[in-house]
Amino acid sequence: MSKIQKFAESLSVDARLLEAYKADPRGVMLANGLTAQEADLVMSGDLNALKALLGDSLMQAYIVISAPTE
Amino acid sequence: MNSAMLQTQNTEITSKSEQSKNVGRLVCVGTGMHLAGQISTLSKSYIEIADVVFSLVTDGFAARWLDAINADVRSLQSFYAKPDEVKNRRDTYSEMVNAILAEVRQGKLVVCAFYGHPGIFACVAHMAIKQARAEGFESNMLPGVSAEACLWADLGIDPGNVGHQSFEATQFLLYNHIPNNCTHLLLWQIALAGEHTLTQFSTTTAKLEILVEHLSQWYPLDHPVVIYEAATLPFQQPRIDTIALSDLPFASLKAISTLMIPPSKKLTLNQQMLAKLSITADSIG
Repeated sequence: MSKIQKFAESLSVDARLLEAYKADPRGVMLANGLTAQEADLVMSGDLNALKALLGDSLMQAYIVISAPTE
Repeated sequence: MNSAMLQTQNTEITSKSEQSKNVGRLVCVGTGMHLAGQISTLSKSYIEIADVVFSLVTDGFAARWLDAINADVRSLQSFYAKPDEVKNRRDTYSEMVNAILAEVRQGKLVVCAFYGHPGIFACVAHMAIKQARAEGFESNMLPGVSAEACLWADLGIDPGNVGHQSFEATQFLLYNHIPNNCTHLLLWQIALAGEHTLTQFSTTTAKLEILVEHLSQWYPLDHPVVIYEAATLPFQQPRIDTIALSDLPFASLKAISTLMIPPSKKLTLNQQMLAKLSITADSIG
């Protein structure tokens, strides 16, 4: 598991880590092993670029049908 | 509870269990909108013990998180139309259900992990559960944190304050839905508004202009509306873009965009009902 994946998962379930991240996002990312490039991408808010860096492709999310089925 | 009642209840449980004779089992769970942190404890436990997990999530982070929880996670993404393919999403959803049921029929504990809530503005889990039950397999749904739940939290709105309505955007256009403009109105899949063929993954400016014209029957063109997208990663903030209704056709819209239209009128009292109940407006607590 990549460090950024592990960090994202930890940040999603660990309130103490999340609060520390809010106070010092870049410092906490670097302390948790993210590269400077990954930290820069997160700080820039360009999550598409971050996902591209990880090789992630676009995922579809539509699971609704417009016409009533019953 | 007396013993007769308990016996009756036990008989009902036995009877239900006898109806579900086949050993395969289907549980549809919601992962929540946000990576890892919005799933219920029980739902995560089902993913851990499942023989096979079918997943439909919105990004690679969520997919990798699931892969780490269970050794046999199969994405349902492959059933969507390929970039150069024209495919009706009814066929996509039907194929998803077939893939899920094929594993249930082999006697496996099958878990479907859908982003958000598996059964709110989401048909596949309902279809799969219905089919599984029709074939005699025990099947159930566990709720997840939906996009709507995130929306109310992020926008700081209690939908119970004046009420709310939710419609799928294309259905809102094609059918005679009448919005109550004293309440909040949510239009889901706004990025597909008016896309009736179920083959495209976007709408057009022209169709959104027709939607705006339709909505202008109840809302002024300068009425503020919100394009909302829940955050899916901890690095992310939710998208909360407030624009004028008339600007909607030119807004950037994604698969997970929801349109929230605040009320344009205040609630008014039903004077006839007040009279029937023999109460006055100033006596309402």
